[in-house]
Amino acid sequence: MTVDFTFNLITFILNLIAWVSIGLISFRIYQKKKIKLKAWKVIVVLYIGLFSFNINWPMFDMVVKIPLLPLGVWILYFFLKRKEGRWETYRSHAWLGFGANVIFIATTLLAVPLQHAFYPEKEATTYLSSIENASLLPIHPSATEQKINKVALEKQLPNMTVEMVYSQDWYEETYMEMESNERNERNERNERNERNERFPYQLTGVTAKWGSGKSPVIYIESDGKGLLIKTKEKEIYFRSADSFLEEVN
Amino acid sequence: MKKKNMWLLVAFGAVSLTTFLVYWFLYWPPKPFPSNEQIVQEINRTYEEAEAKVIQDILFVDTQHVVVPYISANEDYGLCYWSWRNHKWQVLMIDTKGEPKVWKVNGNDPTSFAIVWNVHPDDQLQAIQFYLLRNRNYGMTDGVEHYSPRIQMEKEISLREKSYGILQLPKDWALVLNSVLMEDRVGQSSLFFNEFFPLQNAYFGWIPYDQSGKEAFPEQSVNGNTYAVGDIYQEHVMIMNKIELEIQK
Repeated sequence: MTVDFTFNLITFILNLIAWVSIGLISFRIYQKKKIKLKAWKVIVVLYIGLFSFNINWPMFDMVVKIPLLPLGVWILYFFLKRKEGRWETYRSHAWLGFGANVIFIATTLLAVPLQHAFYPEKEATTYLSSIENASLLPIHPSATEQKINKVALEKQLPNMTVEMVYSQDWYEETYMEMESNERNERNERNERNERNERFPYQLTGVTAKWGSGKSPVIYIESDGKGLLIKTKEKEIYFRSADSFLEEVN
Repeated sequence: MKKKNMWLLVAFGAVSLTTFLVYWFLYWPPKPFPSNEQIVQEINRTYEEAEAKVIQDILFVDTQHVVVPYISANEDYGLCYWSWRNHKWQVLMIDTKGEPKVWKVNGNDPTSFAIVWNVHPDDQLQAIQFYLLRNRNYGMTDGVEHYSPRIQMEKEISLREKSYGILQLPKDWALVLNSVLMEDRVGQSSLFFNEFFPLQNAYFGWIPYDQSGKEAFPEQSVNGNTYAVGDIYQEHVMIMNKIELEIQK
């Protein structure tokens, strides 16, 4: 199987806090009630109460689900009102279920700054945390026989800077030089696609920082100074001052 | 009391029978593969037009997946795909010609992929170069630029001894392909991403070479019929010209 499950610590902790607080509030309501309810019934009511019609609001790299209509509460109302007094006993729990949506919005909003604080997007060490098993994989014929210099990489990583991704320029450069060559050189060369890939290597065997929830795909630039990193959300390009590749002896 | 005991007995019997059947159908180690005569019979019973006559070999992809290269009555070189399923060796698919294909034995897990082929001896091929490819690409989505390096990896196999064979996807191909699958998942809902989806951006290619080492077109090995019986997932392997490939500048 293609396992790319990675553990997102921040989301996990925040969700845990959210559920615990919902549990606590629910317990308080339970204590105040004269009629003692069955725990499993309360859980079912809470869960159904969560159902809602949402609008999706895109906000910093993510989508916030804003609850509009308490569908779950309505369902519970129609179902429970059939017996005298039953709806009244469960009403506060049903609304707590709907209110839980707001608690979850708070956790998603809180996750953003925390994620940035613990796993800064603009630092290469977030994506390349453990590099002991790093190895270089040539993916294009223009790759030359080189290997990764782990000591150099380790040293460069904290100082790498984020640069713009000039995707169109990179793409066109690859083909442009070729055309100017064609004009000057002989026919036999015309027929061949002499092109060098800007990122002819992949870096494998590295893992992102623990708990970041990232499983990046990493390409290395031909000069050995650039990292093109792709995650589920983003594409980010790092440059270092010196090369972290070395010739194979 | 007696009645209760009987029910217990029935329950026990049902549980053990289910356990046995599950084991029998799913986990029982495969029986020896059928004999050549049985294979011929089974192929022709499944697909009459196959007219299988001679079984060339029995190639195990793993313990439960087998490819059988065969020669038909009218001198075609074909392939038959088998799998150990429901306590039986079953035919999954029959190709009347042996143009290379990638068999995705276990869904989209690249480590389970195998390239299989059975080229016609009259095509006089000496070698095949297989390719794993992805085209260079760039673009912008939601204001974020992205660039996908070209992937072009090569693996040559010789046909001098045998004109048929299987090739488990090389380790580095599987690694790279896995990362391409991860990249393809960006911005897609997981609902949409099916385990058995065909590859979207990566593809396979092959270039056949004749005895003098020149590119050749294998007339006798292409344009066959395919007859599928069971669940089988494959990728097409595109026949290519050297000119479509890139070389180092």
